Amino acid sequence: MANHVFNNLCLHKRLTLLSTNPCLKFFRLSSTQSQANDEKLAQELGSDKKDDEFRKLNLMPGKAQQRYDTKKYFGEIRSPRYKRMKTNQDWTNVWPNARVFHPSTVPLPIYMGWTVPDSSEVPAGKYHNPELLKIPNFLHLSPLAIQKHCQALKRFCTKWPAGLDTDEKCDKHFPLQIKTQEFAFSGTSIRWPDYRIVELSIKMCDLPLDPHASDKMKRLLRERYNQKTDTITITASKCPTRKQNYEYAVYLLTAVYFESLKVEEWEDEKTEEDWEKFYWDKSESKKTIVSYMKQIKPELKDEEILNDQRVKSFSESVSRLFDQKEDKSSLNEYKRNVLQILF
Amino acid sequence: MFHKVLTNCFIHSINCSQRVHFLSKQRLLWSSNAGHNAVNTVISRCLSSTPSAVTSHTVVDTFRTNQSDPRLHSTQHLAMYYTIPADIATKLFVLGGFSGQQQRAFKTFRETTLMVRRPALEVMDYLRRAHYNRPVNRYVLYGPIGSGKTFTANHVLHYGFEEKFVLLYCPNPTDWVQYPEETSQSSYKGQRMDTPIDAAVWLQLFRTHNNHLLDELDLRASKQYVWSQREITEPGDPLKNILEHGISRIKHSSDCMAVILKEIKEQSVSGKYRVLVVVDKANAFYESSKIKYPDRSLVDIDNITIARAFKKLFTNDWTNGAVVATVDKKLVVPYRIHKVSRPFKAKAKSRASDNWGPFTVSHISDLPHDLLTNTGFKHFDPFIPIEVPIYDDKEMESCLNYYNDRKWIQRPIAKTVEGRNEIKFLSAFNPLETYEICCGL
Repeated sequence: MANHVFNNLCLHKRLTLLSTNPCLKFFRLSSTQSQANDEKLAQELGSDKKDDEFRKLNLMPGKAQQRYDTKKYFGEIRSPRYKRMKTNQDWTNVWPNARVFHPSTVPLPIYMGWTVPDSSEVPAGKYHNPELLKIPNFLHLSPLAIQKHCQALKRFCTKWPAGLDTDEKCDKHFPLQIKTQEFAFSGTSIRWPDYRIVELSIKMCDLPLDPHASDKMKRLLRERYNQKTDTITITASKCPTRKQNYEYAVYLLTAVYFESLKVEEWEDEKTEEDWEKFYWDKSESKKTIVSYMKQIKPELKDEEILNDQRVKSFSESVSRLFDQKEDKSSLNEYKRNVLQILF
Repeated sequence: MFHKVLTNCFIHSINCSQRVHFLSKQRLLWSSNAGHNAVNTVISRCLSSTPSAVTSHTVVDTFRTNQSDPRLHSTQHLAMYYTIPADIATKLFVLGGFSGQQQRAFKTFRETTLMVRRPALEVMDYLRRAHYNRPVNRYVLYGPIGSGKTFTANHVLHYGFEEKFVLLYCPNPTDWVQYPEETSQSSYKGQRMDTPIDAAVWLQLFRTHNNHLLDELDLRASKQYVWSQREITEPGDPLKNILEHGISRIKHSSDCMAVILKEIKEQSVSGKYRVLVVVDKANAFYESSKIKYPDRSLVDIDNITIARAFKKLFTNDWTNGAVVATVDKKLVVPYRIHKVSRPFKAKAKSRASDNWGPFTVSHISDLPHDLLTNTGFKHFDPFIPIEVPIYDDKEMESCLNYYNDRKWIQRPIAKTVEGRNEIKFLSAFNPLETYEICCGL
């Protein structure tokens, strides 16, 4: 218990604390005192002269024993540091590094704790509060501290390029992004194996690809390509060093790019199950419609049939049914188009 | 001013202040397949604030019609029950176009009645307006489970019967493809599997449907068909001979059936007759079959003679016909989720974790493209998809009035307005669910 707290207690409480607190009981057991008691007892036992007086057995120390003078063992206690702080002080000198929360140094009235809901309880204060000790505090990272750090580092840095003031400009000029992680480990060895992992990401629209190449690239990359954000992410972790992994990732990107530009002979064998989207021009649907129209009017030519507005809207509705998940609106559109043709 | 009449059958008005009791939320969750949106509209319908006026004529007028000829059905007959004359009903549905449960219901009601609903009228309207010299039109009926697709198809079948179409009716393709009575290796092509008994049964059905038409039209075979050394059909022989031959000689019945279908399809070009093909659960033809070869490998649908022959009717390379097909989700839904009236074989090795999963069927689509699969869609494209929705207010009232009339609903509390509202809420306006709820009342 802190000195100033103890002194602020009333006399009664001080005395009870001294008597009941096992830590404070040490001053009770002084050896000279017990010896004197023993001698006294021996004297009293030995003398049987006075029979008229009944000897009392004093088990409890009564008023005969002197009470130990409750001196103030605790010296003058200083007021907590936060009370002696000036408002214009330099906080970075008070808290230069990350440290555990220290209540008497932090000049803030902080409360942290659970209260019974809808009661007039106040959360626990900052003294003797383990919760405040458990959480991380960033008192070493005040804006002033950061400013000082930056100022110190500035002479080692070059200026930020003038033309790169927005994110879009950065993405435009530097489409390739490399992500790596640094670790600090305190142990017998400072090595951390995850340090070697390199993640390379680039947007597919930044690569010059034709439709066949982009489709082939998507198939080659599989899960490394994200449809929604249109980004390719290649994570290399095979090699032991970071430099090797970086070179490997760049190599993979190059290989995939040039491979997708090639057209192999067996790519013509792509069947309808493998179509990435529904090509109505190559589908059965077109053949049936064309043959249907020809059966009605044999003299019609293919181009005339395909240029017919009804056939065009029909083709769009069929493509929509295949490409997107079927739902009632697309089905109703399909129905409308079919009715236009059949009736 | 409302005047509530609380006798057995004469209940019309729905007082907007009636409270709906929440009997079983669980039942509601897996009874309705229409999803959250439908439930909200259901609730709003039950508690709607539009008052309905009391009409002076009796209930018999509002839910029944005397018009038993489907050719004369029109929008004025909507939500009314019409009776199929008993002799025609037995003729059309001898193989059982309805589920076993429904057939027993018809027996109890002592009549075969169907409700006139909008999808049926729509199909019949298309059948009237279609250009029969053009390739056949395909009409695909879709909707949630229990919404009345089979009933609509049967209504159209009756219409086709009255209009003197040649009827090719397949009530249950699963009987051919999944659970045939008997299978045998085909003598015509080694790879094919015959289903003799099912084919013979269908030929009998075909005969009952079209006997008089065959006499009238006098269709003849166009090629020579050699059944065996002694049984040969010469070109020019009437098709009836092939029919009789198939029924009597069950060994050749599958091939006879295939030949008859082929002949009818080829000769339809002449324009002497029109063909109406009605197929229930057409997506069974595009799912996998359950028939096995002797070496325990599965048979493709294209290798089952009668299924293959019937599938050829779905493409539009013939004229003077119409195809009305239903696509049903029941074939794709696991048995444990939805009570489906078909035989179920429990697998000994299924673990409890396999059975824990979705408890509704709303994640499975009931739209035709998804159910027909890509190959099916290619066969049917371009087709006209027709939605068969769940009951609306008028149809629901009519249905409950009919059950009252037939004394299917017996408990007095179920005849009150509150009881009716409860039935409507529990069934979520689904026709099959209404029937099943009323079974217990």
